[in-house]
Amino acid sequence: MRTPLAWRNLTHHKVRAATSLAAVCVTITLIFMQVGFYDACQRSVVRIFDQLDFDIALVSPQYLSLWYPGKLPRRRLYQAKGVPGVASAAPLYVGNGSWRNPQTRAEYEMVVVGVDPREHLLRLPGLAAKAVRLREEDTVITDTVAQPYFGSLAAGAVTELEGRRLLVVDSYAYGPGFMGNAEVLVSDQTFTRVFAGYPLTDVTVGLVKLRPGCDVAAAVRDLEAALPGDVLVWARPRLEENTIAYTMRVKPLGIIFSSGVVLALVIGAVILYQILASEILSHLREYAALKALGHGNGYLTWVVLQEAVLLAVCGYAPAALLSAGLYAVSRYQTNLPMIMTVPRLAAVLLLAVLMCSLSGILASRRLRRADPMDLFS
Amino acid sequence: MWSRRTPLAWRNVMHARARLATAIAGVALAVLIMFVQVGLLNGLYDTQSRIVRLFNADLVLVGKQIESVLPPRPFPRKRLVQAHGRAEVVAACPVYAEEYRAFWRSPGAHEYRLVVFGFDPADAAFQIPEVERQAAALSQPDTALVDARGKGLAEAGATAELSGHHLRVVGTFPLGPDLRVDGTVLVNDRTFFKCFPDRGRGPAGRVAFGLLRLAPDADAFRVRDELRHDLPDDVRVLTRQELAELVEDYWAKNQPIGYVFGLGAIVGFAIGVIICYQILYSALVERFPQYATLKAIGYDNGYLVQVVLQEALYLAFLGFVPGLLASAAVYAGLESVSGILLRLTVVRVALLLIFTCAMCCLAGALAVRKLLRSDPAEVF
Repeated sequence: MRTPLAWRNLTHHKVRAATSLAAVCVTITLIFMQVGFYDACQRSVVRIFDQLDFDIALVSPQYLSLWYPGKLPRRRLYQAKGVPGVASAAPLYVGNGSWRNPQTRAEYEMVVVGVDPREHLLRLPGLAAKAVRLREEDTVITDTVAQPYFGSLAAGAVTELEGRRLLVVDSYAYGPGFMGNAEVLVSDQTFTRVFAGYPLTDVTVGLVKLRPGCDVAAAVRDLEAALPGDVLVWARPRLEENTIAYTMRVKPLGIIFSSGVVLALVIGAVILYQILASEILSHLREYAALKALGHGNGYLTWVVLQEAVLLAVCGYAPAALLSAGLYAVSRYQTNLPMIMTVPRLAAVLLLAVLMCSLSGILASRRLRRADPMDLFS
Repeated sequence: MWSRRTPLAWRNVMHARARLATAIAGVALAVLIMFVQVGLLNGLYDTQSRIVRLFNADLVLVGKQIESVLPPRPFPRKRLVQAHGRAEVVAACPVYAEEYRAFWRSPGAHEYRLVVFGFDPADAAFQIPEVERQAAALSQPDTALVDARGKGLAEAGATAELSGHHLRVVGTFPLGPDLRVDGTVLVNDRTFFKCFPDRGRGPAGRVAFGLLRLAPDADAFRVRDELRHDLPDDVRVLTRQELAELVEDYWAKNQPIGYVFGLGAIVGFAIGVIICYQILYSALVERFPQYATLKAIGYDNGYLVQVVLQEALYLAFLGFVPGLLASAAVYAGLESVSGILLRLTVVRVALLLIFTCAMCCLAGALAVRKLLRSDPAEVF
């Protein structure tokens, strides 16, 4: 067994190794955080859909996201019900209302979701059972994961939404994400009363459920054939993709987060290169000695590559832990859906190893400068 | 500190040009990260209050009770008439606004939602040169000025539909989208009432913003306080600055944005400290014999600390300049793709310079500890 040169090199100067590792760790954390925020931004815009049970959405041709949804005639839902394979077609209404904090009497904007309580639209565990209470007049179910300034959102509270008195009959804990600070559920009847006679014939999004075993693609084609051109028929994944694409490419915040990820990768690559280059420089004499002993450039590059991967892996482990912690803190502080996922852990590890290896190969060009003759000068 | 002795720190910094280049690049990178994060943080708030800061007004009346301020909660126009009753108020101009029911359709494009402001073009309600210049054209019936930086708005000369009502686009002005809205359209007040008839003309009408201009010698704060006392509490009286700050505070307090970009700036600072430490430390180790010699011939630790800190400051300044230039370029690029206002104000540049110096000094202080423990005898 040969001497583990890469390992020895790395651990030779304890302090130096520690700072290199710290730099790699912070860089990987930066990447984790940017990816986390990017993902949280994406998740928040489809968060309302995640609560709902449907296979296909009917949307207006103006639809961009739930904040710019356009509207479609409710008639299209009745027509959709006639299409073979369709089990139900229910309306979803989304509006922005101002909510009065019952304690401070100040009003704050929030997202108001209107559903027909007779339809079984909610798929969050437990929420479907609670939604029965929405059949009572002027009742509301609140999402308690909201900014504290909305006041008490617990069951039993009486407050005003758009100036109309409502009773909080139940609550659930879910979280609104970016853009909306809080979310409440009301029945379609309450929705129209809250928004001064909003016509229920203007549906925000139509939610279609298929019979079990039905082919979604075929149902989309059938619905498209059966419905006129004033509605678009999108399977659930397409609705989510389009909503996310609009938010991330057109809305300023999405663009910022998209560029944040790119910026983090560029910065990460530069820092890693810098670390490896200075590692090599500090051992240049030893490398020259190895050359004098007859080892080729190939062997030295291999050693540097090993060092790079060691740095990546050793820096990654604390970075993943630190990031998971920061995700939790961020989730707690901001209610953002910052969630560490296994694919992300794997992707960032792969990225870290790739970036380190690439930087290592680039940095190892400096090894060619290691001239054995320097040793004796 | 800056004596006429041999400028050792400067010579040290300048000695190895290749290392200096990477050092400057490293500091510049940290400066860039901090600038971008801090710029975005401020930019997102600046963007939200941008339209308010463009109001041509000393005091602004806004509806009570809504904390987010935008979109405004309309209030009775009577309040504006009452405010105008004061001698110091030389002009009281109503601005109408519609956000949730304003749908814009350009020919051949999909309809989409934006924000519409209605005002009397003779009032010069917005301090936007393009709007002031085109006031005459805008006072024609059924005309609109559109935000040239908004998404999907028509060119000048085109026709378009606003909530089903046909309009002629007579010109553009540069504004840009913000976190809430994708575009802005300005129309005259009569056109506004045609598009949104329920907003009502006459005394029953409801106003989104009441812009008050005061006589040149009037004390805005005194008039504000007196108006607050005189007017019923369905309106708030604010200076333009206060209103802008209210909008910014709302976003700062209520959105995760501050947290997200604040964290980013801290990470940038940490990266900067680590990079600078690495650079200073390896420079120190390399010259260890020289420093030890200095000690041996009688220089004390204080002098060595001074040299290292001086080196750190040189690095800070040398890295700050390219960092600032790179940030200016990134600001321009991000502003044009995202529409977020990114402004390099003197205060922000000064603040970042202080942070950069702090970052480098912290790194220098960490790196110098090794030197302090060194024994001249070791070298020989």
